[in-house]
Amino acid sequence: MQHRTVPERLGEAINLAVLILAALVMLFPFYYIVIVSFSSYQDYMESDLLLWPKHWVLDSYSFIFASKEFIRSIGVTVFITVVGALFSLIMTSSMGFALTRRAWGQSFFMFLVLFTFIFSAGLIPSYLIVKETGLIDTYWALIIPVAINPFNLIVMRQFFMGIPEELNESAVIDGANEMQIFLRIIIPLSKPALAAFGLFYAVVQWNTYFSAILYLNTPSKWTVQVILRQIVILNDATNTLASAARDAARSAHMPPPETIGMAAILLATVPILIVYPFLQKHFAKGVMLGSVKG
Amino acid sequence: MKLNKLGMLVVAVSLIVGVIGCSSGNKGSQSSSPAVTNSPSSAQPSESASTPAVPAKKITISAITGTWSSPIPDPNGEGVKMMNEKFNIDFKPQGVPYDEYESKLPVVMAAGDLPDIIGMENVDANFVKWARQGAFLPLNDYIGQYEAFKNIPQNVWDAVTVDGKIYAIPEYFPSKYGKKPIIRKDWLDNLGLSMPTNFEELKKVAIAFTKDDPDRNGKDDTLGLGLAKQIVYGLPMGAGYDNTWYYKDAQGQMLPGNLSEGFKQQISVLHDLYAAGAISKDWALTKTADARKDFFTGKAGIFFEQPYDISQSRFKGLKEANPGAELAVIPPFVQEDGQQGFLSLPGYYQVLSLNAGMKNDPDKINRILEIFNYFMTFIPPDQRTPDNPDFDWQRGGIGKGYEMEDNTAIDIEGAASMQPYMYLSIPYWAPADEDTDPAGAVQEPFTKAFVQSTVDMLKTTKFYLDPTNRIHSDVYYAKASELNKAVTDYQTRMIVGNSPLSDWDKMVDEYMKKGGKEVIDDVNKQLQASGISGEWK
Amino acid sequence: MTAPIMPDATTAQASPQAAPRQPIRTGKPLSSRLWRERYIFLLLLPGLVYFLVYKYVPMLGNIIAFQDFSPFRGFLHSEWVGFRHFERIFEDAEVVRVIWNTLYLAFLQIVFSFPIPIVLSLMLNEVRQSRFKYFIQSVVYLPHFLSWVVIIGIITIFLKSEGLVNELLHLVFGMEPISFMQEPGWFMPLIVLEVIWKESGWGTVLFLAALAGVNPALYEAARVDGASRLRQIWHITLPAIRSTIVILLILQLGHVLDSGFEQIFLMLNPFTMDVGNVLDTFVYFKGIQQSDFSFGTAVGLFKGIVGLILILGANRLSKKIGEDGLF
Repeated sequence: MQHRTVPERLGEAINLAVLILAALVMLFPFYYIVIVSFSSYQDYMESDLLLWPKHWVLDSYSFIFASKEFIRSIGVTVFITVVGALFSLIMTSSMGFALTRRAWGQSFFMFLVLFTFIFSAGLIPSYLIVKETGLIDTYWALIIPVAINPFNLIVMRQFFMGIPEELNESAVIDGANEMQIFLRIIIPLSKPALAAFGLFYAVVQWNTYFSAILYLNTPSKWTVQVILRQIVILNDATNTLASAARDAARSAHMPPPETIGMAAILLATVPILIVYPFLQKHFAKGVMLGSVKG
Repeated sequence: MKLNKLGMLVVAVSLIVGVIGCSSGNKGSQSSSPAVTNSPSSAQPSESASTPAVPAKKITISAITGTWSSPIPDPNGEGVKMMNEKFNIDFKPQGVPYDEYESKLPVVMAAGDLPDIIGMENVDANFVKWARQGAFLPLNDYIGQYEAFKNIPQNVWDAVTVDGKIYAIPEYFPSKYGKKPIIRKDWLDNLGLSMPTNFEELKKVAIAFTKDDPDRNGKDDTLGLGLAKQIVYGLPMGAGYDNTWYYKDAQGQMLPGNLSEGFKQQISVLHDLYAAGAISKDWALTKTADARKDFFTGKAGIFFEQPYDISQSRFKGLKEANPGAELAVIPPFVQEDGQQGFLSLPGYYQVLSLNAGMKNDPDKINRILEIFNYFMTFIPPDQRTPDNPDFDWQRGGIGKGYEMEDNTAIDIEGAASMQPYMYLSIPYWAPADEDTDPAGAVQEPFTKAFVQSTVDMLKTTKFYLDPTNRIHSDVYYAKASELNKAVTDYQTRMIVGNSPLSDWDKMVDEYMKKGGKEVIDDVNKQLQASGISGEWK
Repeated sequence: MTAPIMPDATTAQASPQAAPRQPIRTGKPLSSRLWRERYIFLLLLPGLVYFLVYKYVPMLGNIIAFQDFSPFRGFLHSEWVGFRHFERIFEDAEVVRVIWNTLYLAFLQIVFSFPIPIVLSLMLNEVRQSRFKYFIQSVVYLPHFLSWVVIIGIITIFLKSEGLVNELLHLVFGMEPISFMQEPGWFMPLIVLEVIWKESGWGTVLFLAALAGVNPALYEAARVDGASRLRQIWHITLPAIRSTIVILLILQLGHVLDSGFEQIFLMLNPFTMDVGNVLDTFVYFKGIQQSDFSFGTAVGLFKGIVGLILILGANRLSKKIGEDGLF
């Protein structure tokens, strides 16, 4: 144990205090959302300054759960998150590993990947390709076109290269081909990193919004973020320049109160919040491993 | 070892095949059909000799429209099945929330993926551009055959006409029933004042409302006028004081309303009222909904409301809190040129176009127009009951799609997918605005009284048709909103007193310099070319 | 890229083992080499197909930047106009303003958002009780996982005229309500604050990883020499993450023209359009909503080229100051 001087101890205390404050600032919005979502609309109208519900009610939640659209969108989103993340993991890791092996055209393929960092196609050609490959209005439209994130690919490759060469070489001597090396050695050793990347992909999938609007025509296929935005944004009619007709048409469909918006936000985020602690363990480790090895 | 190698290969290959297979498998089960052309998906043998009363060929019809409905009716719902049966079609609707429609439609358009029916919220630059590029089918030759379309007035047809060709069927929206100025009549009575007929009187009334305790509650808690930011709704007490192309300059060119002397009067009055405290000090930050709240909670004495599609709960709330409240519409002021009347709304909201690709398929064109015609055929309000078979069918059937309460049809919550009329949402085209009987749709008595008195008054009021609703100026579309915003900002400052009213000419000058001159020139050019000018109706 | 900081570790820690292996020239014919390497290609193939189909083929669509594209005439029949759209980029006042907004935002990000994760990670590194450290880390990472839809939904509710923030301001300072979402002056600060809230915590991951690798003995030695904690930080901790900071800063510079589309798109409204419209959103509004497809694509291409130059320049710069580049 080291001796700490008084100023040092003070410094540490202040440091800790500031950090805890920062953590509370990060947490506060969540806290507020929880509070409001369990409050009744009347209480909320009286004063937004709720720090604790006057009456704990489940109105907002029952409203949402009565909405088939919301429930279905959660189911849809779970599906594309799980399948999408898995799919992306498979694609990214296999290509990432392939790029670590010396092979014909290796640097050319690397360049191909890196180039996509810089240039991307516009929205319309992307839409066209999704259309031409028959994915419009299918869930695969949210999975395949985003299968590989070039950045993740590079990093994963970096990670694989950090695995000691001796392991690979001994396997080669035993007569294994690259596929077997990949499946038998690399994958098992990369579990933390795979968990980390799986999480990254999963988060992106869960938060899909714009692609869903663009590629999915059937409302029943929409993701939770789309439904969420309908609920929350419709609340906030800032467009005072709208025409009279638009005003009328809009007000004919009364938007639900803010408390429902809060509940919806919470529900859309809860799955991430649940999964998060489990994975945090893994990717913290994965980051550590990656950095030490890499 | 060999077996394992093979195994790996199989796994890898099946992965790839599975992915490709899945996607092409889905190709077949897409719910939105590709745009257009002739061949029907599942053709029934067409009746040969006898004239078919029921359409002979089953035609696939796809549609894309923006919507405010939440949730959006199910494309596979009962309502669609009913439509398929009635019209012998395979209907494939696609509803997109309006928030996102502006993004999705252009992309779908650019990708060449347009369905048969294309809905648009308004005629705007995109509509004109796409019409000119050949996206939409000209309908001039077809519309004469359909009864319901005959109710559409000329000025509305003009709005959807580009270069002489009609490119869309407009959907009805009452032109008379936009927001009108309303006043607390009980406050006028309490203070012994009469209904204002010009701006001087209006000023006096508004100030009296603020200072003389018109609600007689002993408290200093009232305001003259409710006003929201961006000068909503302002004080357009007649078309000549409103933001519409009404006046001409010395050269005979029409000018935008917000630069005119008439509008200047409005701004000047607003300035005076602000200085006297008759308008809230934070009006420039206040949202419209909040300014409205002020009126309906009895704080402000003058505001704007429409007699169509309104929230009864607001009126009810006002009456409950202030049992003596009486409302009346302020009649338009007589203008210097002798005219007296309000600005008319464009008369339509939302339009439906047909994909140009079906030009060689008159069967399809007519089938679609028949469907529009059917939904648009006016059913008088007193016939909107289960006894009228068309009405009953459109609403999904009594007990399934709607219920009758107090002789009014109320849609069953959550049953939108059972109702055919929810899919294209085409309103009846009323021969005259009064025929829609807005008061009949309202149950709450206070609201009902207000609506009815308003409708009655407006029946005999004159309305001005803004000529720019009937022509298309690319320059206008490109620059108008930006220029208008600058003008509104300037005028806001004038009202608050940050800029003097004498700066008016400076403001006009800036407008001209920033491209306003081109806008005015182009608009006038279009007006002359089409022979359209402002009209009173 | 929405965050100014990279989400994953390891980029900066390029080890000797990370250098790409040189292809071996054995003199054997190509075909037998390909056969020998067939499993590599098997592993490579799906990804390659993906890149070709979903990244490269759409790039061909950029050709409409040189055309007066009309979807009804298609790619092959639209009129060819050469560089006209590119010229318009420099002449159009709106484009100039948009570029200015983009650069201004990038500047704010670098000055304000960028240093926060560094500071935060230094502070976290100083925390002795690992339980606290773990708790704070977990909390601070959390906002990263939320979608912008959710975050801006929350912000919208907080910042309304009758919302929480305005109520507090009124209570404590007696202030009148501020229309945060409509005030042009608040737009950029809000964007930056949102990014800080969302990404600072996550940004510490990289730095903390680097800091974990610092040999504790160094601190001991410094202490023995009588150095205060602050001096220790200055002389030991900071240099340990210097390369990470430099790489990230340079990458950030390379991405100056990217602003994070979704966040800004969700925040924009008619009142803040002037100050908030950045290149990404501009390309979207012009190119899609106003269906000015060709011009939108031209601006997008322009942005890509500038971005390319910046990245290459940044990469070279990083090598010059002694760090490993990205490539």
